[in-house]
Amino acid sequence: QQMSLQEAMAELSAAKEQGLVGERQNGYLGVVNARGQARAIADLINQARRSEYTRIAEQNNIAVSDVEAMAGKRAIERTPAGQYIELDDEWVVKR
Amino acid sequence: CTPTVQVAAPSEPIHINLNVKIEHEIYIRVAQELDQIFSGSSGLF
Amino acid sequence: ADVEVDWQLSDIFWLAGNPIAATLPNWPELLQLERGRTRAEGQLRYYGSQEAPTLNLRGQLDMVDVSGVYDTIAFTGLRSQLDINVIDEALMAELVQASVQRVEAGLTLGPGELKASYQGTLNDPLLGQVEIGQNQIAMLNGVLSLRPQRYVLSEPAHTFFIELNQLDIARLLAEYPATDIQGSGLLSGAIPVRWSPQGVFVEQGRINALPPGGQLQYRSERARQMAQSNMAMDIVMRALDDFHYSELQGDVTYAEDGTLLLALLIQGNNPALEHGRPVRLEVTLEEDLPALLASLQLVNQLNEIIQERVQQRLIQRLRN
Repeated sequence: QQMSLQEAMAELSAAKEQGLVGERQNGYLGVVNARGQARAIADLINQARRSEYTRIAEQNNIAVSDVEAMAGKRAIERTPAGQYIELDDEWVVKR
Repeated sequence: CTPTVQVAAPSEPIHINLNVKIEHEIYIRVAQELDQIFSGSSGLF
Repeated sequence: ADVEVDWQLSDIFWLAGNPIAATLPNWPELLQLERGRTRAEGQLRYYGSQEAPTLNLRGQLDMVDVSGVYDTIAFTGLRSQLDINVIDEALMAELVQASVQRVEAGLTLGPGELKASYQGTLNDPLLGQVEIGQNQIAMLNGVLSLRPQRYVLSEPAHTFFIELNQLDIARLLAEYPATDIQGSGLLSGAIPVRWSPQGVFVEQGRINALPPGGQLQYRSERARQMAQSNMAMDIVMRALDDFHYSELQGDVTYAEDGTLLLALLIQGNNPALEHGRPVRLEVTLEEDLPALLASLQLVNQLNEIIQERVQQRLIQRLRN
């Protein structure tokens, strides 16, 4: 049955630690290994992120793509070593 | 910003004058809001 | 009777904490050393006649792979050798070699190196002289350097001649928080920075793009909407959609209140606009430099201490 956003949030860190999903440059999650609920988790989290980015962009009167670019930089830098990040369109384990 | 443009005869160069003022307070606010999302307690990171 | 003593301090490993800060009263409060090693050794000599003996202290202070934070700037891979020579009151110090791997100050700089020396007296060191020697640091795929010069510290103001060499405009625009502008080309410049206790300012700084120039693309949804109702804006948008420039010159001024003003003259064309009719583009760009650096640091900087300080400074700035 359908996964809820609440469940996706609860599963997110485990999915990252198991290398199922990773952070992309555009501020959204990408599926690294489509096992288990990886796709569902990524879609739900990305949907929630998109509405947050849109809200921030509208409040500050800047383009959503600006917010996404800034978010991507921050997400990748804050990802702990051992988890996946997207570098030049390739999944890489951050050292 | 309201640019001014003089479009003289076709061979003459187009002159464009542009005054741009960058508002950085915006990017600071956005950076601080993104901080909340990527702080680990938002459920989104 | 001559006396000579060799001395050596036990190595300090900064990862294990800062033993000096507790004892040394004037350890700079904004300086935290977090990794790497510091060594110090030298000789103490006592010679000369009974009535007027001379005391000579020589020392060599080495930093090995030190990283840390000073105010809102983080640095890693600092290696340096400082030779110190004190003869009675006279103090001479020479930075024989100093290099750093990376410096984070909103923008990431490095690697870089510096040679410098100092001459002065122990009781009022601020009346001494500093000689800045050969130096450079990598920045945006180009090089930033300070013109080698002697500074008399007692003078009320100083001018630092900063030289920029072949900075990559594509990298510069990529670091910039807004994503609606891209470009290419190499930028060089000469920026005289005037420093005094009242603050820092720049007059007649010059920047220019190197031949053959490059390209600029400004594509912004918001500006495109404005262009629908504003003919001048429409031409600007069409020109800047794919602007090939052969010349770019700029005057740089920076005021003590933090306002950076760039007066740019850009000459070129958009091949798709009226068959590449020449366009003369004069842009005055006004920036709040401290706010720009702060926003870059908030996005790029990970070190909590610096995040803290940047936030505090910002709140103060926005308040007054």
